[in-house]
Amino acid sequence: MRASTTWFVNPVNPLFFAAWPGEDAVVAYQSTSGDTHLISAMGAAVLELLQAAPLSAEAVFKDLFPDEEPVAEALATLRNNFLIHFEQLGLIEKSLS
Amino acid sequence: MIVADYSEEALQSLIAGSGLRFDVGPFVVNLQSSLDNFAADIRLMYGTCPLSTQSFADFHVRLDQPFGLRRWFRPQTNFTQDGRTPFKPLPLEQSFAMFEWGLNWCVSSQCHQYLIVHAAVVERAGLALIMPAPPGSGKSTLCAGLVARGWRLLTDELALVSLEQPGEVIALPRPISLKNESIDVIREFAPQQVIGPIAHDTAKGTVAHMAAPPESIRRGTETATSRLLIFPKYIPGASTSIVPRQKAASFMELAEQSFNFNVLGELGFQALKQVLDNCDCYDLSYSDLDDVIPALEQLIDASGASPALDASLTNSGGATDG
Repeated sequence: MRASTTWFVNPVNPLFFAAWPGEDAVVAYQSTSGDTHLISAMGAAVLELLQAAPLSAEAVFKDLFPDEEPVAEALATLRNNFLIHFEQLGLIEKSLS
Repeated sequence: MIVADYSEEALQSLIAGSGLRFDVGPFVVNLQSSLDNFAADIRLMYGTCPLSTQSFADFHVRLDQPFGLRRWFRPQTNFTQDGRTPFKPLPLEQSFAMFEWGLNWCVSSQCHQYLIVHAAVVERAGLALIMPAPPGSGKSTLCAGLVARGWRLLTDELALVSLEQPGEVIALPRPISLKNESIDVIREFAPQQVIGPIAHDTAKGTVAHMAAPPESIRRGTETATSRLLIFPKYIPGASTSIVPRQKAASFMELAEQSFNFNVLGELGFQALKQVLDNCDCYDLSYSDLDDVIPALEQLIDASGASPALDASLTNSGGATDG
């Protein structure tokens, strides 16, 4: 059976967001590290989902684009441009199940 | 009573003895010094500050000449706070500037009951215009020009953002630091303003300070509500240009200019977020004080009538807290 990866914001490293209407960038703040990031609105939406609950890339995609099929290319973009990037920044973690 | 109620001689004696204890915004400073004539500078620049009625002081500071050769050959001054000497001595003629820089250090390194941002803040009709900017941007010149035209000075250097009253800025009315050409610019623009001793060949070039107006000092316990965030840039020959900028990017700049954003953790984040919730943000380029000041007056007067402020003040939770 193939292991699936879920991504999540560790509750001990919560994120706080600041966003304003009409703007395409969002401030994400991690209080435990003190790191502050300027991220896209799409990136903030991903992080907010993963802060609410651990999700697979497929589940994140379906939540963001309920009318779209999670084709391989789209999922790869989500993983490479968002999930792996955020993991490298220490904003999210992953687990295998 | 205010500092200038003392004669220069009485002040000199007090400073040479137990110390002059006076209020500067929310702080009590106890100043001692063995320097000759330092009282004259303090009387000129802090003369309208209230003498403190408190039995304690937030900062016990001293300015003295070091022992040894430097007392006589190219004499120098040491700044000391609570027995610590955080800086190398500076030439004697830079004593007042050193006092100012030392007091900046005291506040920015120790007063974590506020979010402290490197920015000038002035107020008109209860609304604060915040101007963060790196050295050389023309921030202090613009600040001095606005103050000379009746805006209330909250600070030229250290914006104290309240952690208890969201979006409010605490006044710290102290002398405005002017550098190089700015000194003559302000002398010509506002000849009625008091300019203190000139310090040549400092690390920042030639430095002089403009005294805070008595009215700003008298209202030193009044906060102001953040409303405009302006990133000024002096460009020789440029016409005044005011261009909106995004709040999120402005947040990042302000955090970068803060002395203790990381020290305060989530409290600092929420305080800064409230400032951005309240403020319209702009990039400003200017070269002419007579041109830029009416433009800023128009901008803040219009923003005071804007419903955005009421909305943000009644929605302290903000837009998308996670």
